[in-house]
Parts: sequence; C-alpha cells; structure tokens
Amino acid sequence: MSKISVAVKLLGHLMWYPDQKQKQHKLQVKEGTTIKELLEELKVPIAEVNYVSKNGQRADLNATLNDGDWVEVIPTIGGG
Amino acid sequence: MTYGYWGRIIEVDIDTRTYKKIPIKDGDYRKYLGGSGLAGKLLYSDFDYKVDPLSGENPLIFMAGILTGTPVPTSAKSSVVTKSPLTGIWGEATVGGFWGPQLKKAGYDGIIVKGKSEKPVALYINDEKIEFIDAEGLWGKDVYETEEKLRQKTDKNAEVACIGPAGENLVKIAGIMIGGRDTRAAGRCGVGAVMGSKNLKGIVVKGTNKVPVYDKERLTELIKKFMPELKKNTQGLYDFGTAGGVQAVEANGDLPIKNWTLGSWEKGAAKTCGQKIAETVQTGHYACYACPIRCGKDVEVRVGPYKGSVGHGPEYETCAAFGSNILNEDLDYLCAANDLCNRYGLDTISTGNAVAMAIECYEKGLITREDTGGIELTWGNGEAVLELIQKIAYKKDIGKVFAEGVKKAAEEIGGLAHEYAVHTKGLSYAFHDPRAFTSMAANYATANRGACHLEALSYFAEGGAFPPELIGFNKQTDPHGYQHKGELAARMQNFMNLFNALGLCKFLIRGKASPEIIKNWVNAVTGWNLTSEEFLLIGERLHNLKRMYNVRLGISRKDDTLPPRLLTHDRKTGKAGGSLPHIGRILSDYYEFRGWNPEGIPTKEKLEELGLEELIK
Repeated sequence: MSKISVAVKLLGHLMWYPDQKQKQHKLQVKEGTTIKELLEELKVPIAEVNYVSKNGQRADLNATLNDGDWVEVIPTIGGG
Repeated sequence: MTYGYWGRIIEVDIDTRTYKKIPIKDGDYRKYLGGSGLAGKLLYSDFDYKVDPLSGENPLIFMAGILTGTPVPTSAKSSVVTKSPLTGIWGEATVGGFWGPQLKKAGYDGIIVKGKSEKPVALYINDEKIEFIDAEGLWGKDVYETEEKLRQKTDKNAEVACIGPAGENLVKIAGIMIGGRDTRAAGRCGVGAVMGSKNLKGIVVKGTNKVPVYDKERLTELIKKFMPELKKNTQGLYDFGTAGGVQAVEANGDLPIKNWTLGSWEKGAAKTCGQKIAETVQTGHYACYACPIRCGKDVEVRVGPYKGSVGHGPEYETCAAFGSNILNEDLDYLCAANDLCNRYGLDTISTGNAVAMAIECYEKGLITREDTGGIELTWGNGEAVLELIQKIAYKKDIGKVFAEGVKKAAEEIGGLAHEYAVHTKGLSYAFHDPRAFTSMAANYATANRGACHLEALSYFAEGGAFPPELIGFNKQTDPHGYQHKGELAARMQNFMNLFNALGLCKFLIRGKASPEIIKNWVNAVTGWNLTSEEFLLIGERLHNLKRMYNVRLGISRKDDTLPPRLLTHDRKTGKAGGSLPHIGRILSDYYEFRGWNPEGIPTKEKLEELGLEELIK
C-alpha cells in the first residue's frame, strides 16, 4: 500500500505525548489511515482530545486521511 | 443507627470555651445531605443574616459530607460555610486532604464555632474528648509551623485546619489551610478572616471510629465497576496535576493573560505548566484521602525567603494566578509565590487577581512607587510579586488596600481602577475565562459565592471533559454562542452542589460519574432508596437555598453580571478571540430554566416544588 504525507499540529499539552516532544509533525502514513490511528501512532491519548479538524474543518476521529492533509488536534480542557 | 453520617455536630462557644454535642434530625440529611448543604440549612435557619461577618455573631461552620471518610473514591472533602467578610453574602469554601475524614472518624459530621475568644485559642477534638488549647504562642506563626506545633501539642497523627498571619490580620482574601506543608485550602470568600476574627488559630481532629457503611459489598462492587473509566481519563492528572492543564486551557482560549486582556500565550504556557514542573522542580506526588487520582504534587522552592524548602506544588489556578495573568514565565517565582500564599494562608486565586490588578494600576499610574513601599511593580517581576504578597498578608503599604479584595481596592483607588478589578459580587474570578466557554458566563454571574468556577465546572462539559448528556443536557451548543448556555450552567450547578454536600471531589466527572452512579454510592452507604431524579432535585434545592440566603441580603439580577473587562473587551487573538458573552440572553435562558422571575428571584412555585416553603416570606 502506498504512503501518504500528512501534517499534524498538536495544540496545548498534547505536544508532550509523542517521542518528539513538539507541536508540529510531518508523517508518512499508509493510505486509508484514520485520524484516530494517526493519533495512536503519535501516542496521543484519545481521552485528552477535545476535537480534531482536517484541512480547517471539524472532522470525525474515524475520518480517513488523504495525501497533503493537515490535521489540528485541540486538547480536552483541563485545569482545576 | 445511621450510616455514612453520625447525626451529630459540635457547637462551640469560643467566648466561654464551652461546647455542646447537638443532634441533627435524620430528615435534614435526607433533604440537604451534609457538607455545604446541611451547613447552608443551619446558616439560613439558625443565624441572623444581617450580622457583621467579622463579629462574634457570625458562625463559622465546618461540615463534612455524608460520604466523607467512607471508602467512596475521593471522599475527602469538607465545607466551610459562613457569611463572607469579602463579599457580604453567602460564603462557602471546600477543601480536601485528610481533615474532614478525620473529623468523621472522631464521630462528628461538623463543628459550628460561635463567638469570639479574648485570646488566641485552638480546639482539639479527640473522639469524645474536646479541649481548648492556649494558642498565644502560635499567633503570628505561619501555616506550616502552626501545623507542626499543634501536632506536637496533641497527637503526631492528628489533622490540623489552621490560619496563617493573613487570617490573623483579617485579610479578606485569607483562607483556612489544611495539612500544613501539604497545603489544601478552603481558600475562597475570606473564611480565614472569619476564623481570625474569632482568635481561633486552629482546629485539630483525631478519631478512632470507622464511618459505618450500610452495604459494603454492594459499595465495593459499584466502585470496582466505576474505577477503570476514572483511571483511564485521569492519568494526566496523576502525571502532571491540575497544572498539567495550563497549555490545554491556553489552546482553548480559556487562560486569563495579563489581567484578562490577552488571548494567547503559547510559549509562556509551555514554561509554566505541570509538564515543565514535573521536568524541573517536582519532588513527589500527593493524594487526598481515598483518592485514586493523586493529582497533588510537591515541589522544591528555589527562590525567595524560603529558598531550599519543599512545599505543595502550584495547582492550575495558581499557575494562572502567578504565571499567565501577571506575565511571569519563571516557574521558580511561580512556585515561591504559591508557597508564600500557603504559608501566610492566602487564597491564591484572589491574591493572584489582586496582584495583577495592582500591576495594572501601577502601569497606568493609579498607584505609585511611594504607595507600593518602593516596589517596582511591573509585569512578570517575580521579586516584586513576592514582596507584594507579603505586604498583602501583613497589610503593609498598598498591600493594605489589596488585602480587602479587588472590589474594595477599586473603590479605594477609584477612577479607572474599577476597569481592572475582575470580580462578580466582590469575589475575584477563578482562572477560566467566560469568553472561551460562555456557559461559564451564566455560572459566574449567578454562582452563589461570586465568581466561582467550581459551582458549575461547565467548561468541562463544553471542553470535552464531561459528557453533559449524563445530566440530561442533549442540545448542540457553540462554545462562544448564547443559546442554551443558561440551561447548561444551571444543570451543572445543580449537579455540582451535590459534590460539596456529599464530600466528593468534582474530578470524579472526568470518569463520567453520572448522577445515577453517585446516587447508587449514596444508597449503598446510607441505606436510602434515592432515585436519580430525587438526587438531582436535592442539588437544585441546595442551589436555591443558597440563592435565597443572598436574596434576603438584596441580591438580584442587578448583581448577576460580569465585569466590563469580560463583557466588552475582545482579546482578538487565541481560540476565543472575538468572543464576548451575550449576558442578557444567557441570563434570561438561565432564569427561565430555573423557574425564577426576570429579576432573578426564585418563584413561590419553585420553592414549593423544592420543599423550601419555609423560605417564602
């Protein structure tokens, strides 16, 4: 299966979960990968995700990705 | 025999150093539960609401919840209820730690302190034995030292609630601190000043009883079923504490920055968050009684007068107070400011707001270097902040003005100072911005103690941390819109009232703790047969009871508002840039859902429905 290239921005504290502790990531993933699978690859716990957007539009976690997509991940609210 | 609660409290007359153990009717527990519910009923019915909050006539009521001290997860909490000297209305502060559970082990549900002692005194409750301890030698000591000394005088395993110099000095933003160096705070509404006005330095509790549970087997089974969901969703709280949320709050546009004027602070948030604390100054974890979450952290203090000591780590609220809201990116000063507040017995939320306002007043020329006693009060100046905190606790120079809270400080300074005072009904805002999740505008405007976030915690419901369907709210909402926000806030307020009455931590909702789940715990502990509807009705009753306490003091729609900065100031950047809460529409929705009239007064029909007929005058 061919690979596609996607960009991800992890907002807030989500930057601390991937091995590379940074906000912006560029990844090569298998075609047909869902946003949820992408987040799992980045080790971001789903419980910490409020919502995601794909190419600027709010998207479902089960939405599949296409080459060149960019995903923004907004964290679940926290604090006390 | 009762289960969960004992059916008795201690009533102390501190003038005469006498006490009585008084029974509470079983029906009152069923109607108001415990904690701030039962305490609210007592405050409303048994005491004059017109009293001066710092007079001997104002009672200081400590009340554990009906689940406090049981095996129910997070059952650590107790409430402190009084007429607030900061706001002049309903005063309530809730605190975790081990003090409440220990009071229950001693065989009591609560303590009412009346009167005013001539000399400093402490109270020691040890099962059936109750003693008054001379505290003259402790007056002036900070919270950490007071706790150590009171334990030395009584029992090394006893639990201590005490005030620091701020409470002694009648600072209106002083709290009552629990656990000494492992500080947990009944921080808000100036309850520490009420304790100080009574010359009561501390209350020490030690008990050997076990809180009786009606059906242990059923309770164990229910808890076991609930735990995996809680564990799954609170790993972040264990790893990084509430401070681990600083960046998430910033990313949602919910973080107050530069005295509530800016919309984003991405780099600063990354330097002042729980993750950074864990990497640098953190020395350990801390858990309250029966808590599987363990969100507390210990940290090293690296600067300031107590450099080299270890104290409780800053919570999220304190990170915002002494980080973003004063533009301080230096974690060391943030931790030192937190430690100073804990030692002096100051509420970090109100103190942080006061410091931010003072800096803005200084910047705009409303106060001068002469007023500050020589402090160069600029944004992000850590040393200056530590000095100002000390001046607030000891009412020195400009500290004397800010020791009265931001509302009174604005009245004293005058002019544009009112624009920089961010409060509702005299209580400074907790650090979740109502422009980010506008259900919080409904909550802050109507919360019974003033601008309290915890009375609704509805940013959890809007920000993906709690599904509001679990409390019967199924409508679609826009984070910055106005539709249905009043209803959402009211529903959350009803639910949250139950936590304070039961003695539970609100972080349970991260584990999707629904009214159904918690009601089942209550039934297993008490042997009652509550339905979920009856259970939620108690929450609504408690919110209305507290509202009626305030209505009697003249509170109405005219007071249910947000300060100009939060209503009219567009921060322009960040996730909530452009958002301004439409408070008129939001409140109309709120009152309608609540069954209150357009002036914000509960109707006769509503009070009857809630079984509060006796409040109709």
